[in-house]
Amino acid sequence: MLSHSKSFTLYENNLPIMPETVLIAEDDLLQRRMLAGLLGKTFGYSVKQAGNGKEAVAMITQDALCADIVILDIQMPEMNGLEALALIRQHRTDLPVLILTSESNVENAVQAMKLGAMDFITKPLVPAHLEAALENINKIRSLTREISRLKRHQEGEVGFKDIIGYNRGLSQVIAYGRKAAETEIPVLINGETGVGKELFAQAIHGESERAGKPFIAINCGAIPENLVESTLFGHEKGAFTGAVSKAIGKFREAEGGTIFLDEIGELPLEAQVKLLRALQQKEIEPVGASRSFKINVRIISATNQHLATEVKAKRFREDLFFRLNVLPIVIPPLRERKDDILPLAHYCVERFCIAHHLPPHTLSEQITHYLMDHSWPGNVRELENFIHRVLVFGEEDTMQAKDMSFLPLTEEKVLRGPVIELCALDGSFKTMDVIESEVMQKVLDLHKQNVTQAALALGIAKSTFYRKRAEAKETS
Amino acid sequence: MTTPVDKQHLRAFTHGDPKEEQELITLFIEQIRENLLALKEHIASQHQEKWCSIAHRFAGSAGTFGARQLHVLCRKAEHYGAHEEAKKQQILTLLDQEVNQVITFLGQS
Repeated sequence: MLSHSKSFTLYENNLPIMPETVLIAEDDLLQRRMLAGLLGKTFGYSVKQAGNGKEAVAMITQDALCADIVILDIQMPEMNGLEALALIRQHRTDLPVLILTSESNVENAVQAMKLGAMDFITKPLVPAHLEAALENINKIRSLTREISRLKRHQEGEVGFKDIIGYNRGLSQVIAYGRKAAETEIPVLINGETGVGKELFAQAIHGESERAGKPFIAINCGAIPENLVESTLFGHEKGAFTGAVSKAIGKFREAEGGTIFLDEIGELPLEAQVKLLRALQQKEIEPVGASRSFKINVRIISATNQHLATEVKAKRFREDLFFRLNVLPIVIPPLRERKDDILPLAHYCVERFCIAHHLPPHTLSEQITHYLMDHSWPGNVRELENFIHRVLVFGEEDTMQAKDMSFLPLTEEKVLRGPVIELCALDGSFKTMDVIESEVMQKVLDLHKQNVTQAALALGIAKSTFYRKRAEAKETS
Repeated sequence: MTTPVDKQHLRAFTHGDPKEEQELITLFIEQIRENLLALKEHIASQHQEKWCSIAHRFAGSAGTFGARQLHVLCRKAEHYGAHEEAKKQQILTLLDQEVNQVITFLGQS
């Protein structure tokens, strides 16, 4: 039975989410057209067609990324499938190739597998066989991507391309991040909880000259106040009660690499002084030690607080703030980069399916709408948890609205409605004019830019709607 | 009773789009007429390779389209490449009959 699921791609370099492209090389017009119809209309792929192997190779030579999967017939004029496969391999070793062969020519399929084809199916084409073969190919592709991602994480080589949204909602921020990676400049990352500050810091590290050296992340808010100093700078055996052995501390663990100080705003004032000294003198003194140690560590810090306000309130040292805040980078919350929601969701689905040994899942239209409507106050972390729960609750390969039954009714109702934030990024309240303008924009978006309906929904005259919109434009 | 063409199989390729189905039917009828003619033209023993290649392609499109009996006959024809003309003529007669049945069926349905 065909599931008629839409196939989407999520490249390792996170190109915009789009249906995967299948390139068909088949000389017989009728069979090529039928195959294109099946792949396009029924399976939801984007389809490119070539009349023989030579044409297919030319397309790949011209643009190596023109297809995600290639289907090659074996018997074709000009250049047969086996010859084409050998040439395709010279351009793209990773491109999955599926071979079409007649039942009488299975030995050719064996030859194709030796040349690097991923699978073969025999003619006459059976839609279910083709669907199964493509599912297997997609499964292998997902696993390959995940292994490559884990490998990069393990080797400290996470880059900006590992961040979903690097070429969409985060493109500007990532441009700053890349600049930061080129230098040793101290970076202070600001952003709401769950936006991915640590991953961003890892990417700066992974694209800097310190890549491959240690990346040590530490949550300053999670260290008990009396252990902050020894955790960061280490201690000698017996330096304090409970110091049963010597510890080198996080700074020396990060030697040559980068230390990521998350929730820096939570660092107690006393520890702030010691951190400042370590940064100024580039050396640390473990608790109870009689000597200090030179350190070669890059500092990246992060906070979800407005640190300047903390400075004013005397809860954070101004001198430390200036030393850390040389390059401030603000990561926008997910609700301000809606284009990233679906790619992130698909990425999470792929990862969780692999982790839970589930077949590839897709998102239903209702779930997609829900994802786009929700304001995600917990950002990417909340989205990850949501996808995880829907996968756990779901029973089908397409994730359905009923799988969200874990949401309490009231919460679901609240979350389904549009949300307007009352505070700006810096924590200050937005003005009435700004809020009014955002409300009007939201309602207009919900009514697909139909002003009459939007004005009706807000209980105001169309002329008032236009006037207020014009006033808002002038003000901004 | 089996029909000359499995229309349910065909519909899986068109996602139930009647316009697309009709276009495929027109293309298929055009192709089977051309293929049959080409086989007749290459019945002589010196065209053995060409005969096999036409029969192979004919079999492929018939099978993919869902014309099962026609597919079986084309496969047989493909293996008759080295046979004498009389044998090929026999299979051509059967193919001729089956092609007519397919065209009639597609015209009626």
